[in-house]
Amino acid sequence: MFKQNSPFAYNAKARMKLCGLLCLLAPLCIGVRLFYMQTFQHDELASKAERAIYNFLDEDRIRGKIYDTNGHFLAESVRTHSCGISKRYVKDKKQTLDFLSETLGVSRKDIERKWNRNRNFFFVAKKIKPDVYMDILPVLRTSLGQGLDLTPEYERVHPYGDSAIDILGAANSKNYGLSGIELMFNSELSQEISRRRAKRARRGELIYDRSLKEERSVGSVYLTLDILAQYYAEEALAKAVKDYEPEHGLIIVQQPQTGRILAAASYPRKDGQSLPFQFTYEPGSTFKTIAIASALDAGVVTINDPIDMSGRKWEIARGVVVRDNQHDKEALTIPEIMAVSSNIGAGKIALELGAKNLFYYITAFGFGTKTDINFSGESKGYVPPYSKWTVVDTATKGYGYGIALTPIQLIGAYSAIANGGYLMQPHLVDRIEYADGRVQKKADVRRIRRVLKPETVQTMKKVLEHVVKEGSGKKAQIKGYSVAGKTGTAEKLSKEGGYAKRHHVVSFCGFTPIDDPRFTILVVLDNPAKYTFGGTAAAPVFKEVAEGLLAMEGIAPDRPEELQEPPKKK
Amino acid sequence: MMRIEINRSGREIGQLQNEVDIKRARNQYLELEVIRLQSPQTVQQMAQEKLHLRRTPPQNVVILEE
Repeated sequence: MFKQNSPFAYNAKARMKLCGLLCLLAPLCIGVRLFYMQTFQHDELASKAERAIYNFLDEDRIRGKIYDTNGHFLAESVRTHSCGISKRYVKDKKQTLDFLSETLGVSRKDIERKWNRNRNFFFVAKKIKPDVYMDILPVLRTSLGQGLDLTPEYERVHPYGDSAIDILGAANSKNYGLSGIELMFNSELSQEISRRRAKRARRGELIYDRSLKEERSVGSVYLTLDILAQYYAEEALAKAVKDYEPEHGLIIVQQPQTGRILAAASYPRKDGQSLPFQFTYEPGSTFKTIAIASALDAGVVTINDPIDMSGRKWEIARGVVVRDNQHDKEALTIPEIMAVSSNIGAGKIALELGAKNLFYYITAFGFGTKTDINFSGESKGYVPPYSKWTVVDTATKGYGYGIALTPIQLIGAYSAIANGGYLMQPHLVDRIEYADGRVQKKADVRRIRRVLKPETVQTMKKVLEHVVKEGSGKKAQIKGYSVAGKTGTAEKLSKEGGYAKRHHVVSFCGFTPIDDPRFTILVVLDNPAKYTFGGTAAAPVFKEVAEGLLAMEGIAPDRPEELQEPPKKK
Repeated sequence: MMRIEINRSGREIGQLQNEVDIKRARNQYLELEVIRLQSPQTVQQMAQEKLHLRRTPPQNVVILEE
C-alpha cells in the first residue's frame, strides 16, 4: 500500500497517533462549540428556551370589597373558573364532550359546534361555580381530563342582588372596574398581586412556577349608603313605577346636617347610571321654595304681604299670560301661594326680587355647578347668566322653568333649609380602608356656605309645613311627625317647540322631623303614563320612604298629640 | 433528577393551590348565601309569606332607654 521508503509504511505508532488525533478532533470541536455557546451565547439561548417552554399567565389581580355605611358588604370578588379545551391533547373526544356536557350543563351540540369552528383552543363555559369545579377536578388527573383547561377568573358578586347596582357599577372577570364606584375607585380597589409563569406538561396541564411579585395594599370602599334605606327607597320607587309607569324615576335621601347620601334609587336600574346625579330636568313648583326663600332672605317681601291675583290671570309681557286655575282668591300671602302652588304669586315675587338677586341666590344654592360628589357622568345642570334674562325669564324662574338642575342639587338646597341655612358638601363615599391598616377619610362634614339667614329658615319651615298640612302636599303627612315639603308638576319641553301638556315631571321634596330634621327626601317621576300631579303621585312615595326611615332609626314622634285618639262622645 | 423533582413538585403545588382557592371560593359563596338570606328583601318576603307579618309604622316603634 505504501512505498518502502514512506514514513507511514512500517510506522504503526504514527498511524495510531494520527487516528487518535482524528478521533479527538470531533469531541474537541464539540467541546469548543459547547464552551462558546455556554459562555458567549448563554443569555440568548436561555431566553429562547424559556420562551419555548414557559407561558406567562395573565396578571392575577385582587379586588377589595365595597361596603355600606354599617359595614354590610355590597360587592365582593369571588374566584371562579372558565373551562376550555385544547383539542390537540384530547384523547377521547366523545367521552370528554359527554362528560363536559353533563357536568357543566352545556348542550352537546353547542360544544360540538365550537369544536368544529375552532382550530385548537376554545372555552366551553365561563364562571363555573366551586361545586361544579370540584366535580371536574378529580377528572383532570385522569386520561379523560387530558386537554381540559380550567382558567381561574373572578366574578363580582352582590349579596343584595341588584340593589344599589346603579351606584356600585360593574367590574369584569379580570377584576377591573367598568362603571360607577367600581370605576371611580378602581386604583384603590384593585391591585395586581402576582405574575406567574407556567409550563405545559405532556398531557397539556399547566405546571406553575414561582410567583414573581406578591404585594397586598388593596383598599375597601365604605359608602355613605345605608342598605336598608336603599331598600326602602327602591321598594317605594318600584311601587310608584308599577302604579304610574313613568319613563324614569328616582329617589334620593340625604342627611341634611352632614350632607351624607343614605339612599339613591333609580328607575330603570342600570349599573353605573345613577339618575340622582346624572338626570337633569326643569323642576317646576319645587323650585318655588328657592325663589320665595331668596325673596324673604333679601327682604323684598314679608310672609304676610298680599300678592295680587286679580282675575287669576297675569300678563307678564305682551303675549305671555300666566293663569292660576287652582284657587279663586284675589290676593294670596306667601304661605297660601305655596299651599296652592300659585305660579302668579311665585312669578311676581321673583320679579320683585329681580334678575340679579335671584341669580345670586340660585348660584349660592349650588345650582349650575357640579356638587363635587365626583360620580361619573354627573351633570351641572344649566342656569343661564342673568344678563341674558328677559322679564319673562325672571318671572318663570320663580316657578321653576327656564332652569335645568339635577336631583342632587335640589336636595342640597332643601337640606340647607332643613339644617338652618347651610349648603353642605354632599358625600357618597365615607372612607377607604387599606389592607395595610391605612384609613383615608372621604366624608368630612363640610359647610360650603351659608345661603339663608336663620330667621328666613324658620319662616320657610313654617311655610313648607303649611304646604303639607293644608296644601298640595297632604299625602306626605305622617301621623305623629312634622313634615315640611313642596310638590312639583312641571310640563316638559315639546320637540315641536313650547311645552307639552301631556308630558310632565312630577316631584315632591321635603324633610322630617321639622325641628330636628333627620332626612331630606326627593322623589321624581319623569313622564308618567297617566296624567297626575306631584301631590298625588310623588308625595305618597315620600311618605312611604320617610316612614321606613323613621322606624329604622327609631325616631320618636315629635307630634305625639296626633297619635292620641279623640275622646269618645258619651 | 433535580429537574424532574422540581417539575413534579411544581405540578403538585399548582394543584394544591388550585384546591385551596376553590375551597376558599366555596366558603365565600356560602357566606354570600347567608347574607342574601338575611337581606331586607328576603326577610320581608319570608315574613309576609310564611308568618303573615307586615312592616310596622314608625309610630309603633318605642325606644327603650339604654
